[in-house]
Amino acid sequence: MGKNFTRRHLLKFVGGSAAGLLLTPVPWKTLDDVAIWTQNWSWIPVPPKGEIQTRFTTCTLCPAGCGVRARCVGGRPVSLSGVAGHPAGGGSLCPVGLGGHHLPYHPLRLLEPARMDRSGGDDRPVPVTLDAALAAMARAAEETRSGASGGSVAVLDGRPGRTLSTIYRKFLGGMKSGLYLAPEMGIGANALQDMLLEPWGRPGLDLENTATLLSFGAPILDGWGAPGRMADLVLGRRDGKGRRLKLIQVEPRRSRTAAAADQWVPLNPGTEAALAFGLAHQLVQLRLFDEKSVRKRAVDFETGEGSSYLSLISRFTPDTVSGITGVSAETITGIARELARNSPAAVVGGGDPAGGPLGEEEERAIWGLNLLLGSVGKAGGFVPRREAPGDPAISGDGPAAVSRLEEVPDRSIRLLILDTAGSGGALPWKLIDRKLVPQNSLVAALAPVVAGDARRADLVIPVPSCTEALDEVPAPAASPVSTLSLAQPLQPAPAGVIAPAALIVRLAAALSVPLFSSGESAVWADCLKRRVEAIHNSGRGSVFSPQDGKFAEMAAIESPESLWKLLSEGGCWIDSREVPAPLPHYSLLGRKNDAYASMASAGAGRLAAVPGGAQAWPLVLMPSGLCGALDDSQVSPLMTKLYQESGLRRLLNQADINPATARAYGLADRGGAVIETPSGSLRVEVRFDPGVMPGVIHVAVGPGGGGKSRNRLRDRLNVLTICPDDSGRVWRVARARVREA
Amino acid sequence: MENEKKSRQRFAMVIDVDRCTGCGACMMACAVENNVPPARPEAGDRTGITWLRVYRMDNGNTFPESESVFLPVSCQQCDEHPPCVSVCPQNAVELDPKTGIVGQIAERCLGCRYCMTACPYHARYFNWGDPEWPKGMEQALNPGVAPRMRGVVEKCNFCHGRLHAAEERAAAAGKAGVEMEAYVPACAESCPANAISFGDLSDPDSSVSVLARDADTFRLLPRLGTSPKVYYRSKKRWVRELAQKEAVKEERKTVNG
Repeated sequence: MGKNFTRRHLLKFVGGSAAGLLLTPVPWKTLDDVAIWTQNWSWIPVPPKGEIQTRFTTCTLCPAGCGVRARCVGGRPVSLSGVAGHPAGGGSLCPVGLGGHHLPYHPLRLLEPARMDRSGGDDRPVPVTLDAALAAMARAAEETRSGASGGSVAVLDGRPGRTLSTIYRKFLGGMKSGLYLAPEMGIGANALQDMLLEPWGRPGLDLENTATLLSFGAPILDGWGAPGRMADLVLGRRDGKGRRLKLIQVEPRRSRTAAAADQWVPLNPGTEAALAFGLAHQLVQLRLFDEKSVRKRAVDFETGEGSSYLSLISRFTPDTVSGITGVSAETITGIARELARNSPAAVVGGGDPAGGPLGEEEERAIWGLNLLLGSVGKAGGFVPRREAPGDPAISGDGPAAVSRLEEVPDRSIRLLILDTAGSGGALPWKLIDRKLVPQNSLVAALAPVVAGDARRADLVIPVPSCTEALDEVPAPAASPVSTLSLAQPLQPAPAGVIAPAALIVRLAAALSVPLFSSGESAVWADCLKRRVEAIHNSGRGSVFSPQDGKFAEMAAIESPESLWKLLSEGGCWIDSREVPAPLPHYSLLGRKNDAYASMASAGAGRLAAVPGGAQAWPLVLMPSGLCGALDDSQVSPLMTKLYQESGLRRLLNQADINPATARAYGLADRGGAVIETPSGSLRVEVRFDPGVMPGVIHVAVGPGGGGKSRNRLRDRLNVLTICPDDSGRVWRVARARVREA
Repeated sequence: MENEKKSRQRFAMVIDVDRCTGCGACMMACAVENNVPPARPEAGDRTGITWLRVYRMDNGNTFPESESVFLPVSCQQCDEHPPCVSVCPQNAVELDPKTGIVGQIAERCLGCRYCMTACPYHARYFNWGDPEWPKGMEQALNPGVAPRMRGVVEKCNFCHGRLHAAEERAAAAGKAGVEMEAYVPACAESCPANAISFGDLSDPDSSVSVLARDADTFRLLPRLGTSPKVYYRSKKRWVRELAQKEAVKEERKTVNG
């Protein structure tokens, strides 16, 4: 054997074995195993397994209060979706809400109180103890109260109307010169309150019964209300049930809402008041208005003097308005006829969330249209809302009145507490900054992440993220009825965070400011339980159950504890409707002394005169953004799909420009440009958009992309920093020019 | 054989373009459901991963006559001759005869990206890096879907994880097939405008079958003969005509004029 085994035999054996091996599963199985092994590196995350549960709660990321169905695995949420039939949400969530359960893991999450260190141009959170942070806030507040230092204590409440808001106001009421600042939200109800001569209740819009909705730039389908509800109302329900309203959208660009509207009316930026006056002119001229009601209740409709409402709108003939707004006279007349024909009709303002509210004059002009149409106090229009009972135990000195930021004297706030719960709208920091006492102010932000305005604070106190804490969700500002839902914690909050209510209770205790009736618990959950008990005792309304999609009348709910249990399981209390109180007398121009002059001035347009005029500043700059996603603070890291990986939405400092305008200035799509206004300059990335009006630039205020960046604040300046700051309230339009970067 | 044919399902989607508002909820829900990681810092619209991507389409007119719609584009689930299947050297792409879903088997994928080149809808995405989530966020991942690693291609599979879960529930209940009420992809479930319908094309009475036969319904690039099972609907003629062109490239072409 050995004698006959030659080298040739060996080679044959090896070659044959190799060839034969190929006919066995061994090499292929090995290759397969290697492929599988290389797909399972230890650093590739393995999703944790666990018990699967479905829990119901409420989204707290914006005031809409959408119902949430959370799929939880091992006690932690892994996906969120809408609740079918929910009276507030309409069965869906927006992209911001769909990523709400990611926010506890936000890269900019703060887990302990921090002082912002800006030495060297950086803004870096430096940990401090909660006691030290509270002591600094108490010291600043005490100095204002004792008169040791000038200034006042203020709270800027990102979302007014909550029990927490009442606690803020009680705390401020116990301080010397406490200021409670609340942004304008929803339908500009403050303007109507200024026009009514007697109290009437906060108006809400009865959209379910509206036939025609005229929107002055409000992003009806893009964050203005609960997405599912608004889509059903504007696009009609797929099942054909329910009523579909006719939407007329007035704004300079073809936005998402404008693209889906029945009619889009592009108008020149900042000329909303002129168009509203033009429509009023035609309603009156063609006798399409509710003349009987107007003549009975309006004190300044026709006074025989030169400063009446009639004399004001008589200046805004269709041809004149057409020259100001760019909207043809025929279109103006057509809209006026449609509003009168297809009633009930409602007119709302709002504008882009990044651009802030329309001016007071525009809002009064819009309310004037509603009053002319007879839409105020009528089903399908604006009806007064009966407020829900609050926590009866919150007592002490009288609550601080609601103040407007623009009315606060400059350099007057010593301690500012920023509640960063998002209203969804933007507020330029420079408007806040100029109200602060120079060199000696303290800004404390209550925020889960160091983003947005919290980056600019001196102290940041970490609060629970949206899926980590018990919270309440009252009715959004535009709701015609009061509602209340609870947000349940879906996962535990980290040890270092503190609920805003608990923080204010501790601060009030340090300053000996009583907040609650003697003997009543100051624990946040107890405050909410007392409020729920008060609602139960009122016997009003019904409760929606997300488990079966049915409503239960309050009379059928045995006890406050039963109501609490229903709400804790994702239920939503909705108040019953009552017959609206008769509309009181009102002033169409508003009650301010200079109302006529200011309204006439607004009718000429909002673009302020600047040195050099339109020749030096030939373009118009407008900030833009999505409600609730104007910075990184509420944006899931996965939102990069929309902002960074697809271009569906615009990132911080991306500018939409009409292609013809861009080419005229030598700009290229995706190229760089520098936008200049009289207030400063900003580098942007150009994006061509044929839906943008020629001569207008829309610049996104955020988010910044990825949410990972901790880079310097000065590198993340947004367009609001170069918007006008002289009016104190209106920053949505600015004269600008552009050049290639 | 006949019985086997009857038990087959052909899952399909009909997207009403006129109802889509371009909110992006479908993209977000898709990424959450399928454990698609956030973008790497350097990622852009050409290197990002979006199993479902919403494009804005313009009619090419100038302001104010320009019109736009939003077109959600995912894997079109080609029913006949899927180009990605035939080109894959690894058999990592399969057309499941029982469901009609074109599946991507990450474990077999070599990352040659031939399938990406072959796909006429630009609906496939390559993992240029390892998937990374912010610290702790892996706890929020969907346990029904395995994350993919760098070097492999991925794409929409009509939420296969949900199909498996529905099949398990059906089997536990002793039922033969999946009931449509139990299986809805994340994008269809999340759409606030109810623009996305999902169902079984093999059932001639299903909503998707009825919608697919509608005169306003169309498919992308029908001339290629791939018979996509993702249908679109629009009453606007220019939208239907635009869809016959190279859909994905069209956005920039029209935007740039």
